[in-house]
Amino acid sequence: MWWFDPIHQFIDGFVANFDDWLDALSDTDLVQGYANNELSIPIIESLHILSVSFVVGTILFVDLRLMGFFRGVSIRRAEKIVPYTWWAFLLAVVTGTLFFLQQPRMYVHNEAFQIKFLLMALAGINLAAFHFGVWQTADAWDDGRPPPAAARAAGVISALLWIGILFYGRLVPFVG
Amino acid sequence: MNRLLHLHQFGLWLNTLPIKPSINAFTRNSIYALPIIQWIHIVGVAVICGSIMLISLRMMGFLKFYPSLADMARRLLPWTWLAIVVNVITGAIMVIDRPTRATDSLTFPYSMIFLILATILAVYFALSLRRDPLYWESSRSRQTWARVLGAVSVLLWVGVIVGDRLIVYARGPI
Repeated sequence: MWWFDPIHQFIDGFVANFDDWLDALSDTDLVQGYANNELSIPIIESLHILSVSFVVGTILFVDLRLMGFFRGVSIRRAEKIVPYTWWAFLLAVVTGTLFFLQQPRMYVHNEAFQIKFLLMALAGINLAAFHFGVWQTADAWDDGRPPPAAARAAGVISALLWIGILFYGRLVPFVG
Repeated sequence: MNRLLHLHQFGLWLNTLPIKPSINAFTRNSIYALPIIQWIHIVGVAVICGSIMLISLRMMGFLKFYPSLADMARRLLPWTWLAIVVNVITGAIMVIDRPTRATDSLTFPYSMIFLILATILAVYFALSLRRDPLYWESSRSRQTWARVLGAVSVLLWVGVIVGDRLIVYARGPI
């Protein structure tokens, strides 16, 4: 990824300081215990894909509402799915951590993995800006009117970031 | 199941398809070709989870904050149909790219059977709710059936997703 290369080199140099520590982490009995169980990987992968697709699927439809689709549905109502999204996100984080612990050094140096986490950080910032910003005025525009520009922007940015997160997550095993 | 359906022979037949060389050329042309196909496929899976999966959960009696099942179905199911079409196309590209990888897998046939059943069930949900928006609420027995069929639909879609994720792990007899 030409645009990310300078950042990639910077992060690589920084995380290299922790390589020995990360190798020790994956060598612990706990991690080796499940890593050597041949059923663990398929189970973790299955739960990860289910939780990730639930997270992104529910976020995408809330984003579409923020962009102005489904205006017949109250945004306050549509948004009630979000607690379920957070539970699925928790499962995705747990299963993702179980992947990570098996080969942490590979992951922290993996360019796609780095971009995926950069995009997740940006999605978090976007969510916080939305939550403490235009969302506070939601009652004023939750009547079928086109959402304000800030809400539409938050929806577009969120949808693009999460679709990007899926892409770079999928790319992790393909790049060194 | 693989032997019953003669899947290995089916895989060998897929190998002879005239379109196969062009698909192989496409996926080998760039290291990004395959991940991009898989990416589109996974976005489709996410759309399935955000549409028919939520409708099925609502059928089961969860997500009561969405008051109208018929309204949910009318708004969300078009996205389900789109995702199914896109994923059948991207899935077919991946299967034809390496046919026996899929056809010699123990989970792949179940995944495809679940997909057909889940799609039929989704069409049934759509038709019943189009005819009568309150169809699944209009009697006690229909409410019970809604819960059962909603649960079956959720399990089928989970089966489709997990079965496809496990293709590489469960190699069958040839």
